[in-house]
Amino acid sequence: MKENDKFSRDLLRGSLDLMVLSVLAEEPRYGYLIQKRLREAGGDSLEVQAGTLYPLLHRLQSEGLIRSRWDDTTGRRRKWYELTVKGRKQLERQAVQWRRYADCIGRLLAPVMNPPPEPV
Amino acid sequence: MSEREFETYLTLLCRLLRLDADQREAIAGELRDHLEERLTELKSLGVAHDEAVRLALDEFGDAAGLASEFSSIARNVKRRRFMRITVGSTIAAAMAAMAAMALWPEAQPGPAPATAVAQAPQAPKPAEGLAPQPGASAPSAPASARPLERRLSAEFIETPLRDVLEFIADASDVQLYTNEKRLAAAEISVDSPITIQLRNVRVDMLLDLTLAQASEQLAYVMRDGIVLVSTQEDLEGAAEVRIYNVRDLLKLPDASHMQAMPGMAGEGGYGGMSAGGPGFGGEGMDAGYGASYGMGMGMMPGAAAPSRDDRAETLVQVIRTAVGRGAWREQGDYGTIAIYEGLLVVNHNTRVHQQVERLLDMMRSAARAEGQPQP
Repeated sequence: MKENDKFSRDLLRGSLDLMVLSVLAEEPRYGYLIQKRLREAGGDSLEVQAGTLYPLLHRLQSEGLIRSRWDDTTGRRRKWYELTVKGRKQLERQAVQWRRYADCIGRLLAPVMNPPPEPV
Repeated sequence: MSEREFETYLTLLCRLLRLDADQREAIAGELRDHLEERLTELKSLGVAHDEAVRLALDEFGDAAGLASEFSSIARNVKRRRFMRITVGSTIAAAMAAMAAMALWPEAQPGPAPATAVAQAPQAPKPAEGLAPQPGASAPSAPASARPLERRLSAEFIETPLRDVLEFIADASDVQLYTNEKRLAAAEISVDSPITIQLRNVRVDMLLDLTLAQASEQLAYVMRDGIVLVSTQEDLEGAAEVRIYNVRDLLKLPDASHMQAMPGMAGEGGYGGMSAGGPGFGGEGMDAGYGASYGMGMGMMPGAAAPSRDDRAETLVQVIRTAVGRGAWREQGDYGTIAIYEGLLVVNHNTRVHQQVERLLDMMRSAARAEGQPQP
């Protein structure tokens, strides 16, 4: 996978919150599992560095969109994150908006992605 | 390379985090767990141990940047809890600043008879018997790019001094260093409760009010772009020399023109100060921050025009009287001011330098409003 094939920072900037909220909507996870899930979902195109992920998690928590709790029942002390009601509502709102946005981009890019055949 | 690298990184991170001990430990614990798990995964993929340690650390980036992000998030939480920021647009700030030019904070240092507020040449009121000044140019807009001249609104209710200063630094985008050792030595707590609720207040004034509320001994200076907060005693050593070119102000004016110039200290002999002086500038300065003064580099109507040296000396006297609140060597303090060939050499702290600059700006604006020659 070339570096150029990864999603650009600009693309990620506006969508990382939504991605993380989506991952936590599936089930509670700790940071490492969230990163792993994002990597699985995005294939080689999506690489969210730990140095980006943890501040983002703390910010989402400060905004009341997710909450955390420490758990050491697995023998290892870990901080688990889960979605709050506010976070779920936000996710639903943003998901609808993103769907419309993606459709819009898709329509605009259609001629570029599938150009009409050139006249012979 | 070993996991000790993790601990070194986390220790450094914790040192850089501007958070309390519990928060630092929680972040370190969370990141340590991630690093260890990532190390295990990378090794299971066949990556050599040392390389895996390096890769795991690389994914967190540099500790300073990460610490800054965590600290910033924590500050935002505090801010949401205590404060409301409304840093105005540049234009709005400039407009408001012009309106408030007459209101200059004079909280410190040291005792002084009265606050000197120089004339604000903006918007003379026709009702005062002065003809409107159609040609009057507004004073040059204060450089809103100067962080301490920005405006913001803040609501502090029993907020610890440390948090207030952090907020001010954040909102005005300045680096602020508090010499906590000096404060402790002076028995001033960084947790002193501050209660201030103000809208659209200049950062420097907010700093003045904040420090004054915490202790009369506190002061600040700006050095190399950093606001240093400490005790006055400590900061007195932080004086710096600045040179102001005032040749334009020392040009001899047309006496007949000067006679008509409003706002002059007509009764005060050659220039100097005239308490509550008439004319524009006297208005709008009743903001409860000390007494107001009308001020002018004037001369007695009809009197012989003073020499350039006389005017230079007058300018020095005006500055010494109008700013610094008596903090000049001649008045028993440490600041010095001298003039040489139209260059004003001032050795004082940042606050006084700002006041000198502002005063000179206002004098130039006033002169410009009257069609005086400008550089």
